[in-house]
Amino acid sequence: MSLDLTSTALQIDSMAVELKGRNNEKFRRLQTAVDAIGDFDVDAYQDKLEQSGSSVLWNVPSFTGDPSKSYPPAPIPEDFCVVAVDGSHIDIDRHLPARCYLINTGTVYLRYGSQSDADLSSQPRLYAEEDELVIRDHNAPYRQQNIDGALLGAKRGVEEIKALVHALHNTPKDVPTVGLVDGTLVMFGLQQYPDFVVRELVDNGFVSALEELRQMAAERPLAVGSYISLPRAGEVANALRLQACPFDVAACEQNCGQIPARERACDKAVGGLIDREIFSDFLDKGHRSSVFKSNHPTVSRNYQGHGIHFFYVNTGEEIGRVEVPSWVAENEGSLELVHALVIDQCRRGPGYPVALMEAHEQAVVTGVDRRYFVELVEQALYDQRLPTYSSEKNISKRQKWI
Amino acid sequence: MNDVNGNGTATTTRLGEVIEGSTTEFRTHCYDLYAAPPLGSLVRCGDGDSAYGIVCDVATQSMDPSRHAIPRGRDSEDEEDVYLSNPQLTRLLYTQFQAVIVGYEDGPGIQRYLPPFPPRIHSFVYDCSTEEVRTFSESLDFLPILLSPSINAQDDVIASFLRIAGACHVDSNVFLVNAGKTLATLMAGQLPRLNNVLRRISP
Repeated sequence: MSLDLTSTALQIDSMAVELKGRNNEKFRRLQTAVDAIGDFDVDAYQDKLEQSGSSVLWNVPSFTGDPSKSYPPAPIPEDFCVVAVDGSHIDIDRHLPARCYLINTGTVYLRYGSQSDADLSSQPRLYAEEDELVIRDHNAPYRQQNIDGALLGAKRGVEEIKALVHALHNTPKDVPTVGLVDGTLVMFGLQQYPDFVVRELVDNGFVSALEELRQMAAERPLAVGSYISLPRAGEVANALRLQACPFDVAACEQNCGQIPARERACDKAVGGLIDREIFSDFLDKGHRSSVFKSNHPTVSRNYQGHGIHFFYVNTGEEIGRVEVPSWVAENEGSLELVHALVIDQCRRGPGYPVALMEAHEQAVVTGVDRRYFVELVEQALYDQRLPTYSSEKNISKRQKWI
Repeated sequence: MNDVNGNGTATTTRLGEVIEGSTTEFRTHCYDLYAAPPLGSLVRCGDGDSAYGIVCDVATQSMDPSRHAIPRGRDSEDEEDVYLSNPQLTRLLYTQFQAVIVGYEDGPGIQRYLPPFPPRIHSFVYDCSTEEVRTFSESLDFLPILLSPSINAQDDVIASFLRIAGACHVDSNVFLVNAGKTLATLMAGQLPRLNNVLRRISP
């Protein structure tokens, strides 16, 4: 049977009423947050952050400047390039007769100015070899981790940034260029995996590619970053929690561990807010916020000095989040280039960086593609006289007997 | 993309490749955006026993049928600037044209009726040189094919072809008068329609 929409609609109505009730209170907290940003004492915050150390439960950033300031975009260069990558994948399907996964990376090169040009491409790669389906601990080869689910998502992130490195090698060296990836530069969600997995994907994969990009950027006008549309991050809001904390040392567990959520002092001040809501109040169209430095544990532990910084931009359509490596954030020219070209890309989009949109279109694997993929796998196995089978569950889903 | 004959001189331009073909018509995907030949042009497809077609429809559209173009030129000074400011457009749009088959090469000669087999998919498609158009239009035995009701705007296609072919003949007037006489026979009983076509090819 299909979803009971009548019953669902009633519950949706109740949800909307409840959200409306919460909105007034949220608006008050938002005003508090905006006022707090205006009065933010960066030195006091940094001191408290250092004193509190790891006893702060919230993921809070470091500040590099006055958080209430906003910056207009620099003029865009006459000639420039934007290179963007995105990826999509087909996960391992245990109902299929062959264990394999596919990563499709889409790459877009756009050149603007006197020699306007474009190149759009995609590169599918099938992984089916034994060694490609697992990550092994080189020190203890019997330890291995299957690549599927969230780990395949992380593997795809590595392949995307490698594709960016490859694409940037083939672009003009004398033209200001920004390389963009979709989403965050922080490899979230790997804390649950063994160290050898993190080492392989982050240290040897993502960070190794970042280092290659840094070396390229040292020799040519190149900056890289990532763009997040409708970001849900709340790191700056968390910083406001720290400022609102009435204790000298923010030992969350010790001080407030027995107080229910929403009742703590920081909850009452700025709880439930996300960064884009705060910055939407004082970023003019095209402007960016101050730059913040992520203190995410994975970045601190595994990024080998490639700190991840971020700022928010008002694209005119939304507040977006841009993440850049430290060597971009700390170079004023590179930072201005990323800011100006992200705004320009969103203007051309319209609303979202056009290069990322086209990279997504190149990378996307549709439902029809996925069905063809399964058929191709089954046909190839059949041609090799290999058994083709599927689970009874999968067969029952296809046949839908009454 | 120019193709070169044995003497090393450029003769015809390679326009694109066949992406759909039957014994009556073929569709060509152009290599370059907006690089289709004009309506009524004579084109040749295939190396070897080539088929001849007359362009009866030209279209430019999105590569991805689920994506459509949106206005992008509000702040542009001219139309060219829209493409310079959005270089991806030249990769996301394409031009194609449909040609109705009107004859084929049969060894050393030319037949002016339908070929026994359709063009192969990915056959190269060339525009025809002045010499080829003149040779092909020395006989107008193929005109009944162009009068087939399956062709959209058939009268415009016929008139366009005759104007183009007329310009390739030494005495354009003689060619057009003869063409008008042939049409008068083929379109007997359709006087208003015949007059329409004749008006369009009148010098």
